[in-house]
Amino acid sequence: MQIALPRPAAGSRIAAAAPPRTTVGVAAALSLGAAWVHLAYVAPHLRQWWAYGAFFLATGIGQALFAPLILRWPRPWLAIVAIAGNIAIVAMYVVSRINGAPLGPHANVPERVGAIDLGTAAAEVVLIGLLVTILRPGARRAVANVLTAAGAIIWALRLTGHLP
Amino acid sequence: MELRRRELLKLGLFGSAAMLLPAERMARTKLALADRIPTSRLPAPFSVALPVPSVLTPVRSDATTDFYELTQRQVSAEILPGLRTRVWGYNGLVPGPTIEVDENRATVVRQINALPGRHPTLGYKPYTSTHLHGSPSLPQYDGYANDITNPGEFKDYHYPNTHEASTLWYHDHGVHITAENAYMGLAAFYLIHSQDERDLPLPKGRYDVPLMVKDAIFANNGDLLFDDNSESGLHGDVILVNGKPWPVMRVERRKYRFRILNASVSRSYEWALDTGDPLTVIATDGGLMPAPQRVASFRHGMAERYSVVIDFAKYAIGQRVVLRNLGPENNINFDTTGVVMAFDVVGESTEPNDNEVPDVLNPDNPVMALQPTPQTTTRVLEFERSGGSGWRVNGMIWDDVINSGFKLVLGNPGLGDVEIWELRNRSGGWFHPIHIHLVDFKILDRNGRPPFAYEIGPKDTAYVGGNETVRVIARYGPQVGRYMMHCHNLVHEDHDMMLQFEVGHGGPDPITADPAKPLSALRPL
Repeated sequence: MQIALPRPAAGSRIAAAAPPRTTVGVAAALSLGAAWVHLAYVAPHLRQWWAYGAFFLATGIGQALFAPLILRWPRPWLAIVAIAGNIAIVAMYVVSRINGAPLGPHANVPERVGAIDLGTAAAEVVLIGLLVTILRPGARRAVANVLTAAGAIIWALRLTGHLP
Repeated sequence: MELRRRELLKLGLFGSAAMLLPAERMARTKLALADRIPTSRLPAPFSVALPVPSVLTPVRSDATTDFYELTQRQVSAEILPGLRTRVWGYNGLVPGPTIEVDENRATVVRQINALPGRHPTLGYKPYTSTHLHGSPSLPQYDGYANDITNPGEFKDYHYPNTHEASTLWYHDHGVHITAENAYMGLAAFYLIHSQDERDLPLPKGRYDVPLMVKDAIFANNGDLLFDDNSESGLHGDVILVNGKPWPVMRVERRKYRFRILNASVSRSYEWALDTGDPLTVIATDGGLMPAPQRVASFRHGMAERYSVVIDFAKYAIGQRVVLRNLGPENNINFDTTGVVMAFDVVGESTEPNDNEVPDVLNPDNPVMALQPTPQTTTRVLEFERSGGSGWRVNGMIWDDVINSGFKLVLGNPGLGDVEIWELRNRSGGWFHPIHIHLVDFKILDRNGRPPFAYEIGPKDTAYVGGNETVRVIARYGPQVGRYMMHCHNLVHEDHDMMLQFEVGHGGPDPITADPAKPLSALRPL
């Protein structure tokens, strides 16, 4: 007697198990929260420079759209896109608070660190961590290495005095 | 699906960089403020002698021009007894050295930015732009906020000194960091003298004393703390005069002229003597007033300069006279900010000459002769705070000017045009000392009433108190080009209560006409 095994999804060698609903739900909630903060600060940043405003708008929209997408399709590729985007957002946050935005009318003047922006960055870091768990082993290793490199570079710049 | 320990460590490395560095900045700021030096460790008032800033010697002079060189650098100074404070000074001095020049004799002042690559506690790159406050300088030498000199660069500023005898001052004006730079010490006197003024029997020489007053907050280790109260303003608990806390000056029984400059970031003062005797105000920002004015007290906003004469002849030897600060509204006052300095009367006058205040001082100043006519253009400027985007003028901010490619102007008076500018502050919670670059003006009225007696002189900065409307009249010139107009609460200025106007059309570009150069291009003046 033969037992019919489930067919792997097209394009993948082994079908990925669905991530826990809790993980996905929390990730969606964190992304929505971060989106809300970014969208709330579009107007004052737009006033400073159109590109600052555009960055906040794009970030907010992207994070807001991610929430229903990950709930509907909790796929590794979507997680990778979100991880990449949130790493970029967090990196820009660190630069803006330590060194100042690289461009625009407030270039090189560090922004004030506040509880809201720090809390948002924390949410994004946790979000990245949750999304890593959705990835397949190979991708997990690669992303973990990217995070290691990014963290090491920032710390090295700080400890050598290149970041104040 | 859980994170493995190895992955957690890798994520932690990134997360710690992302969180700890900004959090460290926030904590550093909060800890620093918590580390404010207690009042008990501050020196007792009047225990430190008043210093007088040194006068700078030109490195070279020719038939028409004196050439000066100044280096902006960080030094460790003893401001509070027993503590070292990192400050930024012109030639390492706080206040910087005074430049004294005769009317119509030109100067070239080289400014070398040798500041460290980063502010020692705030971490920003300290570019500078030096403004000679009160001078009708060409646009490229006016300290335009975005005409910056980075560390490792220099700029030669050319000043015509066509202004009549007056108390000017030079200070930093770098875009978005003026408050921090000036707070660190980048400010100094620049005095223009004339024969007309010398001919008056006013106190001169050692009896003509510049007083730069500012407030500061100190940490236990002596460092300056910068706390702008969520971009509202910085109010320190230590009052410094010429860089020393609550100093005392030994005086003779005679008249003295004091050129008082309020160089605070955000604090205004109301001066009064503890004896109740009046102060005789003889000069405002732009020079001598038409006639002296005797007042019991007067309000003094940031960047304003008032010369007052105090006659110590009426006091006995051994008596101490205290200059008090009555604390105008909308300042944060402390137990320590009610007194400023003291004068100890120690002897008889040793110089009988130049010991008078004539009834007529300067009757022919053209600014004071300006009169409005029905044809005079009036511009209304409203100063307000908006929750989302800071401090505004007519709903606009300096970032709008930057984003316009520096083309946006609030007005375009023709060269030589006379205009009335109506400065409105509809808030009761703030005051704004409004500085208009390039010109001197006359205050026409304040809330429809005549100006205060002590304001009846040429001005370049007008104190616009809570719920006040001040009308000023000026002739726009003598230069053509773009100039700034802003609140001189430097925190408001940085966040972004500043616009520009253009006199005539064209004129040198303030940023590109003569930009700063690298130190490798440095040649002797």
